Amino acid sequence: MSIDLYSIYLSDYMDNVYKWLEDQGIKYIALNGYVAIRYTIRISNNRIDLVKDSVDQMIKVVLSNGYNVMTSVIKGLYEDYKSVLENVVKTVKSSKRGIKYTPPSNKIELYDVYPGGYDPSVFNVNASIDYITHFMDDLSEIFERVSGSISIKGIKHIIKTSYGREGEYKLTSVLLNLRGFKDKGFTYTLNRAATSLSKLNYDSLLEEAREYASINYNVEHVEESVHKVIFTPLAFSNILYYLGTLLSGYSIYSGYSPFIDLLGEEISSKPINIYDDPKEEGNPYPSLFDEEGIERRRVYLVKDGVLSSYILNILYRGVFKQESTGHAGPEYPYPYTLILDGEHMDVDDLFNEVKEGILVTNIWNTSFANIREGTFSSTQRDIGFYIRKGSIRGCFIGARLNMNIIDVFRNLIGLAGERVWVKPWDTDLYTKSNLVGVDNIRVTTGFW
Amino acid sequence: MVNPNDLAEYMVEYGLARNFDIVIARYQNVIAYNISIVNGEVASTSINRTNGLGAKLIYKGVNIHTSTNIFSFESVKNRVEEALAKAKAYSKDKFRYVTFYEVESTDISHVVKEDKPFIDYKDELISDLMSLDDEIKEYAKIDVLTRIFNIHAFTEEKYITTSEGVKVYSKIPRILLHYRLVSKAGDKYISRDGFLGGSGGIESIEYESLKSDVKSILDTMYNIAFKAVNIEDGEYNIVIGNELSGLIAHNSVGHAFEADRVLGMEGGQLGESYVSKNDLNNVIASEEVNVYDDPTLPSLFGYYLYDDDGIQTRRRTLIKDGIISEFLHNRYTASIYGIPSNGSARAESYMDEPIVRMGVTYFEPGDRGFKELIEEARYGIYIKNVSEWSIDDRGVNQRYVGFEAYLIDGGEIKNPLKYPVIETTSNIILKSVKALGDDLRLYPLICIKGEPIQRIPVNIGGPHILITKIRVLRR
Repeated sequence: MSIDLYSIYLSDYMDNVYKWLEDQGIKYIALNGYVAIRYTIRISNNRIDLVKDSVDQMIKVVLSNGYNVMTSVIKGLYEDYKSVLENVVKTVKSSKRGIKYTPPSNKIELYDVYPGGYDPSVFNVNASIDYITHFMDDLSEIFERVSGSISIKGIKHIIKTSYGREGEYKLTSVLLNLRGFKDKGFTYTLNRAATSLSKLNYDSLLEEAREYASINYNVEHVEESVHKVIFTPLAFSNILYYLGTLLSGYSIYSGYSPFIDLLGEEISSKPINIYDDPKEEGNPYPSLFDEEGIERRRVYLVKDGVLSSYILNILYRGVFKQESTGHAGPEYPYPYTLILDGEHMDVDDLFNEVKEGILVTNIWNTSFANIREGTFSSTQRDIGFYIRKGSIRGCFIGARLNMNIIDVFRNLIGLAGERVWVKPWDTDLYTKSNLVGVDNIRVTTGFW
Repeated sequence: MVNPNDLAEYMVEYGLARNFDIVIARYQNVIAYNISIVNGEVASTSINRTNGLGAKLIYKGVNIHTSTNIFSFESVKNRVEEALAKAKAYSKDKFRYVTFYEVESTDISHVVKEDKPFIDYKDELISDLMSLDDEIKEYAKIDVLTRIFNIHAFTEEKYITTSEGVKVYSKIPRILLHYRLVSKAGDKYISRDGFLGGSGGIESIEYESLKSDVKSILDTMYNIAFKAVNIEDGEYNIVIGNELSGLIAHNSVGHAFEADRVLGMEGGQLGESYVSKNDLNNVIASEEVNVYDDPTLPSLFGYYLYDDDGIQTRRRTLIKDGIISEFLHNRYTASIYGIPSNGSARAESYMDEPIVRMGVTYFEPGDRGFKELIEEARYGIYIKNVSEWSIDDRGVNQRYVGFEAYLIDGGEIKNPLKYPVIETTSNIILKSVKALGDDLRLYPLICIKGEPIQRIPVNIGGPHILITKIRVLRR
């Protein structure tokens, strides 16, 4: 399969759509074209259930006549695009008030290929089948059974705008999500994202699985208490995802984010950085520009513990009097990828610092009781471990972590260990972090 | 222009010519309008179309799903050839052998009519929501800082054709209204989200019902800010409202009874089930409990008549008199049980394989009036609706945080309570049901499952229900 082969027709199609939009008298046009090749191999109980693939083309238009913005995604380059876009154009033309929309005026052409961000070897489905089959065999020595998937994407993104931004890039992305099951509810999820199979680091993943699975204690229901908690990168990814969405200019402007009025304020007890950098080497979902043609770049949301930026597109840059951060998303400014870093300690030092607490390897089903105040709970998904005297002693299931997103960062104990890229099953954000220690989290359970 | 239905037919024809055992091809076209109104202004609008061909192909037991949105015979041929090459290469012991129960041929067309088509009446809906925004400001006794109304109107058109002669055309328009309110009292904020919707045109959004729900939320916000008290941790009799009984039907029964979860096939995704394959006919709830999943109920958000395997659906009896009666199946899981599918296969888009999903899941109402339930509770809590809920990935350990909630004392509703938390298990909650009300209300919900995640429209619901001796915590 070749992503370039499929994009030939897309280019012609985009030319037709662009000309038609110009003829309608639209002032600001950003026309995105995508070609995507995807496949997923699903397994359960040590068997492959399904191989699925797709070859798709789509366009996305972002249009404005000076106030507000209108978007449209057309998946399937059917010839009657006008039947959809006529309604879009009509709405854009009738929009005469709202937030001012002012794209940058400088011309930029973006055609660089991200180094290592596109590896066409991922399109060899047989290699992925062999990879996951091999993995299942190795994991079957550690776990009773394995379920999960490997998902591969290859995407080509082309953009043409009425304000001088043009470009294209290609990316490939691989996501491994395998869950091992032992007896009495002991489960552990191996999750890693990269731009190719070889970068997933098979040996290191297997070692990680062995390390966790070899911890041999009776699985108990968790004890309700207030704990110091160490989150693995996968567990903390869920929190970073909600942080990202609540830092979107849309959630601030709409008035429901707990981070309203905190710009420039110290929001973390440690001098951490949280940033997005789709061009950073190793980012498993690289990108050169957003859907308005604004360059992706390193954008610090939190710098040295201080909230330094919201996530913005062209529309919301006007509201917040800042430049767009290059985060034009589905409809609103949206986090693309997020990286947590900062001074970090040895893993042993973090465990000693926590001394008495718990290690949580995966959470999900995060639900906000009060989104404006940032109060929420997340449910334990895989095995958790008790930390006693700085070492792992015992394991548990059934925990629910009662948190507040502001307090999580105010109560940071520290970061430790290797930083890795992950993406939990129930979020759509790739994040990179290491182990994260957080103080003062109330743990409850339905098992009582 | 090539007719996409012809391409679906060609996919079946070419698949059979290339010796696939079964081909289920689907043309799926979804047009979606999204309008967001924030604090009285239209903040964004989008129109999206997702349009393509997907097919499930079985070759000597190997299960392949392929899709494309390149509309040409050449493209379809390429997808089938690539599927065949994969299936031949992978017919080995690491694959699960798939068989399908046979079905009879059928040819049917099914279109849901819109009394007030969204495209023609959207301005009326926007105008109503703008008026409601004004009413909120006038009505609320506290400062409502954020008022968001998100309209998601989408029409799903499908043509399913299979190698066994099934041909089903359907067109179902749906609307979902999500709203979010945030208020402020002193230095405290209170927030609450709500949903309303159904299948059909904008008549699915019943304005008076919406207005009533919103006013109730505003009253509750005031109560939480100024009148509500915390409840002491302990065991209580609880009367739960329609929304909460619906969430329990969805979480503790619907998801847990999806046969693919029961069989462990979602283990790396949504999760497995606390119910095992051999639990059919076992007691799971008190004998008052009957739970159904019925996608054939008209006008609802989760409504459909034929599933994406081309199977006619029906009301599924999940729990009858407290006993597990039936699981939800697609053709794949049904074949493992050696029974016909009960029509639960659904796919979000042409790119997705149809997996086992719910439609409209609810507790069957009983015979008690609301007052009778409160009197029967004597001392306890009435939780009308919730602001937070979650459940673990086996459908056991669950939590519901009450939003509008009151103390029940002496068989009467007393003062409002602040965020009482139910944290319990499915086993406890289903067996604690003592009486069911005679009312039934159903709510729309977007349900997630699969890999990548597939979002599909469903309904949840039930009557008011009295559950006893349930542990409650303060938040």
